[in-house]
Amino acid sequence: MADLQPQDLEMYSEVADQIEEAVGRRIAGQPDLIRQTLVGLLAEGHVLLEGVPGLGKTELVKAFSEAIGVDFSRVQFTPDLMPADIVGTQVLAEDDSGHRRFEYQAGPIFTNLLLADEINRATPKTQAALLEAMQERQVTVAGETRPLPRPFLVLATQNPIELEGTYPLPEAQLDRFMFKVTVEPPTADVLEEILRRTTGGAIPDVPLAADLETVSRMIAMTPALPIATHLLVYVSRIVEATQPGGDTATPPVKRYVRWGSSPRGAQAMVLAAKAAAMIEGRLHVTADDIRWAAPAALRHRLVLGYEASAEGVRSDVIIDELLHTVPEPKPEIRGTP
Amino acid sequence: MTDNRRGFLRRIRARIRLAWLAATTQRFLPHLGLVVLAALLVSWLSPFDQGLLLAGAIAAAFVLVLLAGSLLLRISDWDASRAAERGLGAKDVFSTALEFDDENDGVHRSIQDRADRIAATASPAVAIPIHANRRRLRQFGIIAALTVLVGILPPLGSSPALSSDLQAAIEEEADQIERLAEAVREANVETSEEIIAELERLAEELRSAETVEQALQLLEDSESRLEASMDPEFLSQKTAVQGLARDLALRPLSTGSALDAASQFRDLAESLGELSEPELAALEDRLSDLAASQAAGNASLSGQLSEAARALSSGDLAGAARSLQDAAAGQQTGLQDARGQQALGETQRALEGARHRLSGTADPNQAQGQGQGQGQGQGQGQGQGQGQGQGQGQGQGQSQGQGQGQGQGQGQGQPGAASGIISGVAPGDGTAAGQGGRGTVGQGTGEGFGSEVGAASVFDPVDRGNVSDMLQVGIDGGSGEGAVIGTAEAPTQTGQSLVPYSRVLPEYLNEAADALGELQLPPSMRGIVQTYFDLLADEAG
Repeated sequence: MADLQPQDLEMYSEVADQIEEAVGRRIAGQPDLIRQTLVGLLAEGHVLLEGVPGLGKTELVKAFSEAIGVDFSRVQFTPDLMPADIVGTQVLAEDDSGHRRFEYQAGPIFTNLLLADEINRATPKTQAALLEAMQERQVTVAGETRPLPRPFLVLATQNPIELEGTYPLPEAQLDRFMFKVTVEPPTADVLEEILRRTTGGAIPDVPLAADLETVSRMIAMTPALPIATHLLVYVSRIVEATQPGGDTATPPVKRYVRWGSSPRGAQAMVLAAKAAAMIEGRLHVTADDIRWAAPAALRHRLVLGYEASAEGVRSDVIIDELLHTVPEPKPEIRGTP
Repeated sequence: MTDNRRGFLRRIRARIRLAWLAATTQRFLPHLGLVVLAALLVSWLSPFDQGLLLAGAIAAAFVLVLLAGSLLLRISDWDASRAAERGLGAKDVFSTALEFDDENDGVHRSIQDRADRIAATASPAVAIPIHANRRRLRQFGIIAALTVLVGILPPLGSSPALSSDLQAAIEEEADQIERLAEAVREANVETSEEIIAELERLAEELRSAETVEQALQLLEDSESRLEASMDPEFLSQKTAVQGLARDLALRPLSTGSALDAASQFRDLAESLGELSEPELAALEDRLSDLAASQAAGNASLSGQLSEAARALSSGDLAGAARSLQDAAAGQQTGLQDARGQQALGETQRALEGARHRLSGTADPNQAQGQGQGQGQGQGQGQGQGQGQGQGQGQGQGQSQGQGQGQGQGQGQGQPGAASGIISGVAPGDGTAAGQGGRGTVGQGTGEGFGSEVGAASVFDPVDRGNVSDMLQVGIDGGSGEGAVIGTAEAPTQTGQSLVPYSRVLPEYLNEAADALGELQLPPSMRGIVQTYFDLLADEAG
């Protein structure tokens, strides 16, 4: 494990601020979205962006790639998209001497930031190819395994409307995403700012805020941040409480949740909390970091039942109630805070 | 961990103990209030008068338990660290510093430094605030108000504070008891010392009594103690001794002897040698009869008289003389004992009267109600011929002449709560039939038939002003048809249609003495019967 130094942490915090500021020049009024994406980047966790078209999801990914100076690819997922269209394929090539041989032509997945646009429109086979690469951070084509470049971050989008002709991601594949970020429509003020920036003829530039090496070190340092045991207990309690059959499940969980979070949800919360602490320049994780990370880390991992669908209950409501119900570990002494 | 942070955590621990004490106290204050209130309520509603003490003990125990609990509270470093960082909003820094304390790790050192910096400036009072639990305090306030209310109210059913009248009445009774003690001292009977001690102590306690109930209880206790001091065989012994005295007074053992029995025995012992054989034989029979009459009530004297009779039978005049001397001494001792026991009984009755007076003073309504409601009597009688009569003060009486009479009487009513019932049926032969009722106050209504032969005044052994007895001893002969010749309302103290009991007293005495010696009467009934005849005898004397 990398050796984390306090002075490095201060620098990383400043770099993170610069990245957020740089991306914020392009993406107006979405600080949480930018923060969550940056956390996903530092924790090397893929992010599923859910929102209606036109909210700047593609611009977000582009801005990030420009801010940290990394490669960026965008794949528009459609029903006829094949796995080879993503991971690449062997093609017959002829050299100068006229010999023909198969040559691997890399797909768009060989990049640092991959925007998988409308991922739920591709067939499950194609989705599975992508998700395997996300998990393994490598692809195998024609018996040859090829590692993906680091950092490697997939930002997938899916449209919550127009579900006809789509292939909703299976739960197991959803679990591969560290975060699911809901992109909310902009408010009037934000929209005004967007209009000012995008209708003036010149799109704001995104300055380079960090080089690839620095970002890679930040990614490597993130897991090294200390987290106290009682916070791990806290995370465990939260995840345990999402299980509707568990003793600690809250009434809404028992009523609306069919399946609770997997251990990956707990891992995602801890890593995201560490990344958030690093961005804040803190030397350790706090319970606030846990609570901040919980909704994005858990909302796509709760499988809701029919009752929730019928009553329009969203997982965010259940998670919010969970965070208010599950107690943070504290002294069991009357009168203490 | 640095000394700075260690000291900080120590102060945090002390503060946590205080916070625990405050929170726990507030948590259980309403419960404590309820328990204390319950204790006071029990004391208020029941005779249990230690409620305040019990409530105080519970409160003290509560405080002690809480103090002990706060001192015994185990507070780990983690507890103190977590409490402090939560109270200060220090973002988990103390608990993380506690866990990551590797001095060689730069990040750990930085975390420690940050924790130390916060600890250096933080106040434990800010870190561990002590909050007021308003809901609990409000509940306790309500309960406390109720508790104070119950505490200041006098116990339910208790007597109010002594009024000046009651205080004066108690004081008067105490004075009377002291005068009674003085009279007993002058009487100089065997039991004087015991009675005087009891009376003087009672007078002193009465003066310090705070309530009427307490004074009445003191009197009742004293009565009980005097009653317990009385010899259960007293009545039969007294009957025997006095019966012997009366017998010998009526029929002396020798002519010209002194009247009292002891003197007669002594004179006889000295003059045995002067008696002739027939006189000795007659004396032997007389002594045997006397011995038999004393067998039930005075076995010792009976034995001495029997021994004297046996000695005479065997011609042992010296032995007979010794036995007669012993009998004289025994008779004298018996009389002294009887007087002592009588003094006990009279003192007990005097205290009973005092108790009734005091009870009537304390609750005049009650006395009036009882006196009017229970103290009335009505009598009916039929007689034939002359000499029929009937009267009553408190009771009913019926009698018929011509050798048959029935009487029944009830008398009740005294100032206060005393009551007495005497009933009986006596076959009459024209000379006696009747009953008597005892009581005080009370109105009596009497109707009389026939001609009044005679009447005796009423004797009141305890308090002539308040306690009365009526004696209807009979009707002096009569036969033939009778008619109602008049009715009269008679107060208790003055009955009508009474005859001089001196006519029938000797026979009554003998019958009663025999009955007391032979019948297995309960002591309480013996007391009544004995008292009855004692009064008759004293009045006759």
